[in-house]
Amino acid sequence: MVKKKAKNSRSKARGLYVLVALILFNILLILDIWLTLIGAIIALIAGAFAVIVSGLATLIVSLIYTVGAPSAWISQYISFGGVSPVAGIFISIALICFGALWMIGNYYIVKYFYRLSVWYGKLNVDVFREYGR
Amino acid sequence: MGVKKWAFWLLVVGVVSLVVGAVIGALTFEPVEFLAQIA
Repeated sequence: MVKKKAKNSRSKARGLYVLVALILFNILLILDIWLTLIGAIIALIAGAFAVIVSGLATLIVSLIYTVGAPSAWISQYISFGGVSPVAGIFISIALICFGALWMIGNYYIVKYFYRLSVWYGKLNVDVFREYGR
Repeated sequence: MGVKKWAFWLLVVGVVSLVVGAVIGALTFEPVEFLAQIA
């Protein structure tokens, strides 16, 4: 009975050590890298979104210029600088397409990053189960 | 349509639009107006 109790408390202490070691290791070495990657992914998504929105804005302005009627009004604020607004329509379509492509790339990056995070979480649980009992 | 097909067609449309836009832009470019704008 006494032996069993001692073994139990040793096992608990070992579990606590492993838990503390895992938490320290993850906070010191993994969490900062993980948060940096999260920030980079958010920046990538924001970049793709910005390219799509800029393409839409260029498309709207180019269409207004091409239609011609309000061009005198809008040319007070925005200038094409000697380039035909018809070129702007095509460039804006290209911008939207490349932004959408970028967003598709982001989708894959998020998908694999999520899988990697889940794999790492399970690895931690496995390590605790293997050595913490 | 799968994501890869979407990506392929977006790439095709994007590159073609970019080339067409660049050609039209180059052909219709007016240096005098451009210089007046940046002056």
